[in-house]
Amino acid sequence: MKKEWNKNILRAGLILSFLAINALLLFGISSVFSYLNTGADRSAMLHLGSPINEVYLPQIQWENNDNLGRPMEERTLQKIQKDYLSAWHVHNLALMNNEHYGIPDYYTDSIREKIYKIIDLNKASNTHIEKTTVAHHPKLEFYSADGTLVVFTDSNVVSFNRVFKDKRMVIEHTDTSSYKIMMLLEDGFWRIRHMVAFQEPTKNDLNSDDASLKEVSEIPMINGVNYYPKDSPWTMFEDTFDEAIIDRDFGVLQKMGLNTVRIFVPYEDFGSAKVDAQKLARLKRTLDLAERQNLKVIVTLFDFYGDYNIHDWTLTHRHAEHIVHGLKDHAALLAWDIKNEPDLDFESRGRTEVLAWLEQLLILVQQWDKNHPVTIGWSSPETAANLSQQVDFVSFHYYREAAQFKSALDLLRNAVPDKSLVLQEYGYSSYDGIWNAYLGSVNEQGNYYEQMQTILRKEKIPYLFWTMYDFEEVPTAVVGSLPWRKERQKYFGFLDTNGKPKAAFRHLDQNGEVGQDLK
Amino acid sequence: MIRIAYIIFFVLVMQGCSDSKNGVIPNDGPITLVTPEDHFIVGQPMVLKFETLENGGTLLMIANALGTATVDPVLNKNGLEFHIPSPFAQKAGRCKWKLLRNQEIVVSGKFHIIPQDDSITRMETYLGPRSISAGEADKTMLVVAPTDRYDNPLADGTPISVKHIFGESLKEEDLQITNLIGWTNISAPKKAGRILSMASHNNFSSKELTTIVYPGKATDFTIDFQSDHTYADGNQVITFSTSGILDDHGNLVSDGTLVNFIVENKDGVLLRTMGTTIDGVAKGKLLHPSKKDTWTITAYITGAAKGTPITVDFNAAVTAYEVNYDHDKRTVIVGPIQSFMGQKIPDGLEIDLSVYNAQGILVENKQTTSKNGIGAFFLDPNYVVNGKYKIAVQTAGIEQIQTFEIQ
Repeated sequence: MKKEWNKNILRAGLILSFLAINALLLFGISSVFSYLNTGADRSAMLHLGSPINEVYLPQIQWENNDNLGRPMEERTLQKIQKDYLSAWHVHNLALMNNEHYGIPDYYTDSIREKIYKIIDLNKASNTHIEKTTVAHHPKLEFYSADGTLVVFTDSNVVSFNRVFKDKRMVIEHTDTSSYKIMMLLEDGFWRIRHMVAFQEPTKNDLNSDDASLKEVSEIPMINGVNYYPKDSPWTMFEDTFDEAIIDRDFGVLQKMGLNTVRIFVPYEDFGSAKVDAQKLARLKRTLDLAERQNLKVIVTLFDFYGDYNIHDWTLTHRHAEHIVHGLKDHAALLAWDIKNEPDLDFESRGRTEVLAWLEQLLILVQQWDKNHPVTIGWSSPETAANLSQQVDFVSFHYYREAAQFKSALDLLRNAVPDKSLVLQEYGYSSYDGIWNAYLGSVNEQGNYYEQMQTILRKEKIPYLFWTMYDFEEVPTAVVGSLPWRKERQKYFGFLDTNGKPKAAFRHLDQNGEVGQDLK
Repeated sequence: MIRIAYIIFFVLVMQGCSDSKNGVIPNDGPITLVTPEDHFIVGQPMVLKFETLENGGTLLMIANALGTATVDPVLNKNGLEFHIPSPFAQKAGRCKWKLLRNQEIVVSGKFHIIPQDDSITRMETYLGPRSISAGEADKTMLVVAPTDRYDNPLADGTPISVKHIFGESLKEEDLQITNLIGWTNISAPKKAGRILSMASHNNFSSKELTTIVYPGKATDFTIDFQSDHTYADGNQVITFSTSGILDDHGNLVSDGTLVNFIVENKDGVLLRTMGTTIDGVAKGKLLHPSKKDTWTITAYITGAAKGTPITVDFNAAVTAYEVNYDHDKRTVIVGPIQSFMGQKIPDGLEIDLSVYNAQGILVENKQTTSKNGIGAFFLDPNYVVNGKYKIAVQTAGIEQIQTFEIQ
């Protein structure tokens, strides 16, 4: 009987494994088949490509389109602008790679030879140039009666240049030049026929910007929090955006006696160069809610952005421009923070690249919004001295021992004696689990804040702590996928995942009024 | 021991030598520009000279409108010399330079390269539109973009002389280069024809450029008709023709101008024919009507002009005809129909027959065309059973009504 059983088990096993092998085979074949059927998008056959405008978007403002020739049509002007910017783009690429690619599309026969000669010269001397223009100010001078020839001056073209010789950077500089340009309409392309640099009479009003308009008196008064809603940390402006939750949270913060929140605008989620109008509206709504609760807002731009490549600059500029213009008149806006912890990209992207990008954006944001101060959220007091002359106040983060804070602060004060300092992020994780050998606790967190608040009050350092809530989920993009980082990141709140106050709350509540309500 | 000391000494000396050769030791002595010129003529050798006691590790960066490059120094006993490479020396305009040492800008400046006015000039000319209409409203534009031998646009203020001729009238104009170009409008003359133009500077002249002046918009005209007779025989062709159509300035309109002839008959029915002009005259044709009629003819050039309407009367070609039956009265024979001279009417005249029964209800309606002057209708017994009937025959605008009985 037992033998019979064994035999049956064996048979069943054989049949099952046969089925399993067949299933695997079918799965394998179908995967190969479906792989071979993907990838070939029919539209790709047409080589339509993405419109070139989306890779090069410097600021461009036509001054006045009255000219002595034929009246300019709006559509033609758009086409001229598109082809003119494309000409700059291919020219920048040509000088970087020392290749001719794209030049024939946007330069006529005779001028392209001259560009080729410069490329040949650079090839021979092993020089290459990385370049992007930041701002163009064209003014139409002449448009011919038959609509095939146009002359314009492009004044004060701001460009950022890096010159490399033998693959080593020899100079990095910003240049302002003016050009006279003649373009011809040839087989559907506006091509540059002449381009002549000329000396414009210098205008003084470019430097007359008065920085004193900026309201920095509020900066030393900051006490606040880095804010994310409990259920949508780092994805606050997605479809889960809920005004009621934010309003309630802001109400709690206001009752706690806080006056500032810092929020983050993720670059790609907001549509990169073409800012998503819906998300911008949600961002504005958030500021409205803050205003209602008498809170001020520090808006941190470029969250999750990590490409500082010079060819990406103009796109990031358009992104920032859109958001700055959208919010600069909002009563709740306190300051702009260009980027969160950009120094963490020094190693992977190169310190000069990152700093150059930041500096350019600082200049631009300061130009676009003359009333609000601009800062950068450095990840440590040691790196906060970078660009300290350019920012309106210096922001830094501190996640180390409370006991060493004073000495780090003193070092920074020595390095930057003349600017307000803001401790823009600090906090302590109450995580208590396998990854820290069950050594953390909510009491540890409470002790940390007790120490820190004492120092901060004594030193009169404005602060924004990290953060309001413990989070149930932390996206991998924030701290990576390592569990000991991810788990730790979940427990920085002064309220737990149920919204109940933790031990730290007592030290952060300025008024001592709300604690009872929340319990 | 001494030997070892010697070796160490040698190694150190070698090390020192190689370092100084590479110029890595930072120089920070003053470097001053000694070249006094800040303007050069394009194409001439250009050298920037600097006075310095040191010579290592310097590099000149130059940039013009078309690119940026680096130049290595030539060292001599007085200092440094940088020879501007030809792609930069041959490009007119402002040229910026920066003298770099150890990734820092030591001195920077700029110079201007002026286009060479007296060298070989290339007269680049653009004329357009290449076809315009006669009259003051239109114009063509001549744009001149002269360049020097290195293809640099000439400086602002450079005089250019422009000539254009139409028929016998030669006009000369002096222009000045502004913003890379010189330009002028050439107004259209009143006559159609060709404008030839050219531009010159320093005895260098452009090629010949042509704009064709087409006649302007047509003006109102008159209409006429030709036909061999005015009988409404449905067979002859009547030809409408316009007078020579002129524009505002007396030029015959361009060949191929489309003219629409619209004919309205006595009953208000519209007929249409069209023609295109040759030497200002357009023709349109229509078949004569087949019954007495009066036509009113108008002609239009859409959006431009109208012909004065004319009227044509057509006399009846057929004045009477007979209607007969064969022996069993199942075949109705119309005709012979005779035309205006008594001749058989040409084949193809439309004949219409309506059959009504005793109660006056329409039983059948048939059409045929005449052949040899006769039209015949067969009344099918399946539709038209035996009995009394009334028939109405209509052709050439004449109706005849008869009653008969099929037995």
